[in-house]
Amino acid sequence: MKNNIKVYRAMNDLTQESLAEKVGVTRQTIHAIEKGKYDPSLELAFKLSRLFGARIEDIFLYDDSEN
Amino acid sequence: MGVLKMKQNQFRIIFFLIVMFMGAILSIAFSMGNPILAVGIFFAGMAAIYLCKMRLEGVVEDERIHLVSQKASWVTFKILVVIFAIGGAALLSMRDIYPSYTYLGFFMAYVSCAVLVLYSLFYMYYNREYGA
Repeated sequence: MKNNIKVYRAMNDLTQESLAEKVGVTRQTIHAIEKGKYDPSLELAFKLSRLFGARIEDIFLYDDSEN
Repeated sequence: MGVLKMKQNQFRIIFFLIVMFMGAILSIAFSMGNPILAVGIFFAGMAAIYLCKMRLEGVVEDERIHLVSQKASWVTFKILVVIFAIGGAALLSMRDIYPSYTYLGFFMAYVSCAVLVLYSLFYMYYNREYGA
């Protein structure tokens, strides 16, 4: 799954470390999500969307062809 | 008085040192044939690691780490069960040639069965826990 976390993080002037701290995960998890290596849980996706004030589907882009 | 906090890198170094120390003392305990020292140092090491982990700064575990841990456990489980089952069966089938390994063969076969039973019980428990 693709995502725009890096873009939203830059828009909100957040480092991976500070974003991780705000949503209660490790910096490595944010890095893995940004690289598309890990798909977050629904709970984490909601936390991120609320933090950025955006809809989940604006942050995470589901592509049918990937599956 | 505040609790002394520890960074991840510091924890890794201390963890490594504790494991090295435990390994050294365990090898001494085994060479001396002292099981009390071996068990004592094992639990002391576990307690020391636990206390250090409690003092770690920031988030230590999250959903990705749990997922990684689950996958690692699952692969380890499969490998161990297969090795013990095949090893046990092989040793038992060759008990006429290698009679001294018969008990080891039974042990390996029983362990693989016991692990599978335990897995089934936990599977049923968590399957019920998560709504099925």
